[in-house]
Amino acid sequence: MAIETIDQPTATDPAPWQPRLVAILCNWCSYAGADLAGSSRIHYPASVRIVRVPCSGRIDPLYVLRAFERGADAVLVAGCHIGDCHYAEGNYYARRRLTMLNELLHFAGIPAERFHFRWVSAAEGPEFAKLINDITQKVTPLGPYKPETRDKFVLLDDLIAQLNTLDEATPPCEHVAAAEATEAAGS
Amino acid sequence: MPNQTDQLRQSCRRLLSEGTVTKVIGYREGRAPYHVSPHFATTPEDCDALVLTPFCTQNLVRYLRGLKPEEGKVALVVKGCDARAVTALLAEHQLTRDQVYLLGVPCEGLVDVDKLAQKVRLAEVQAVRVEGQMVLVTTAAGEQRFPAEDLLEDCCRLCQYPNPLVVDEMLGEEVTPRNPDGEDAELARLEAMSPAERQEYFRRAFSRCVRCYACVRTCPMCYCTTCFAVQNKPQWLPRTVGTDENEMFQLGRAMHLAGRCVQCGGCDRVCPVNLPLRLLNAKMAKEVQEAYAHVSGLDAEKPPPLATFDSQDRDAGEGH
Repeated sequence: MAIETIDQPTATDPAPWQPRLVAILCNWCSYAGADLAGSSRIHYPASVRIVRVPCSGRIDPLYVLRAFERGADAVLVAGCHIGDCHYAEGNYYARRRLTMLNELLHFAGIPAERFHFRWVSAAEGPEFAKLINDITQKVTPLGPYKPETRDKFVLLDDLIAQLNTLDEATPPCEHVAAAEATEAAGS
Repeated sequence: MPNQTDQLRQSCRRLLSEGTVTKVIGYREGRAPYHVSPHFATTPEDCDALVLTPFCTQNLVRYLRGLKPEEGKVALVVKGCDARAVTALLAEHQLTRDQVYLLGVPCEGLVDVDKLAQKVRLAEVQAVRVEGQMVLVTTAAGEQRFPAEDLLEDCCRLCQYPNPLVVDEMLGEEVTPRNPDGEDAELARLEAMSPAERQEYFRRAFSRCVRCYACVRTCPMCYCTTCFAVQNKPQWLPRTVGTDENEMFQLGRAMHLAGRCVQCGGCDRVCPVNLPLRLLNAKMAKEVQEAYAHVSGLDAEKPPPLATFDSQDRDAGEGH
């Protein structure tokens, strides 16, 4: 399936909205886990976008913030289980940073369903698929993370509607009425 | 603070004439009785201009950025929070202890000019001093007394470490911390809100941000040569000033300061649109302290908490 069809459902085949999930996966475990899910032909939502990084310790918290800023509806970060890091201790660093990021996102009011931080090993293909399914299920009812663009148009429509009804609904201000009266008298 | 000021001038004159330091960075009178400017004294005569008032807000630690060893030793006037900033910079190897001579000033708290303006006409203010739980404001009409709680900066009301912890010389007597337990009612109020309410609160705030980067410019812990917010390669943030971009900028900055912020309140003070920056940083400081038992600026030997780890750390996926 071409990627475009996910984002832009055609009129004839309107696919239900699916959250765009960005999954940042470590090369050695989680990416291999995702690969296993694929080669085992396990079904999971195709709206997940995978970013492969050398190690979860390489993940700058800015990656996650950037993903949200660019319109991701949910972000998953996954790395090797503690003790299994290919670079021995990368995921220990990741654990601290992402735990703190999780706290910060929670404090900033970003729903907990939208950010996930899990360990997925290379053998956990089914678990990976289940994780993606779970996240998609949790995020779908929440809708897009950035509904602002949509709201903006709603607001604009409201404003136009208000302006249109202004003439009939609101009596003109006193000075406007006075000016109109003078004008009428003059002509 | 008059005695402290005399003591400060004396010490600085001595330091400069003996050649212990090449420069003293302190404060001098500013454009009004409620304002001071940074002062750089290089001769003993320059020291007569040094002052200490409850308006010494500028965090002078900022001037240590890029201090070269050949510039010799520099004396710096530090309050409790400033001294912590120096310690935090030492922990991050941004300077060495022998580059600075710290003149510690136990701090009763700084007076918030905006809060002061609500109580008296600023133009009539002649002098302000903080004495324990009271702030004494001298105007042409005489002296007025206000509870310190009403006039102090938020970070000073909630200050846990008013006495500089690392100094070469302490000026004046130590003061009692105003908030020894680190309680923060405003933070607790936000924490008690639902995530949706908090999101509303923060996004409303971030929508005001004009991205002037004054918070970055004033922060003693922001020493990156190029801030991620203005970096081109990679370009983390679009140059557009919109709520989403501002949110990423402010959260990214809070993340960079997690476990490093010393709560000097500089960002809060300089923000032209009053973003709740202190609260963001206070929250991260609290979380880091709870999870990793680390308080920034207390120990120059401890690395910043997010640049290290412990195998017993709280695991992923716990909480919320």
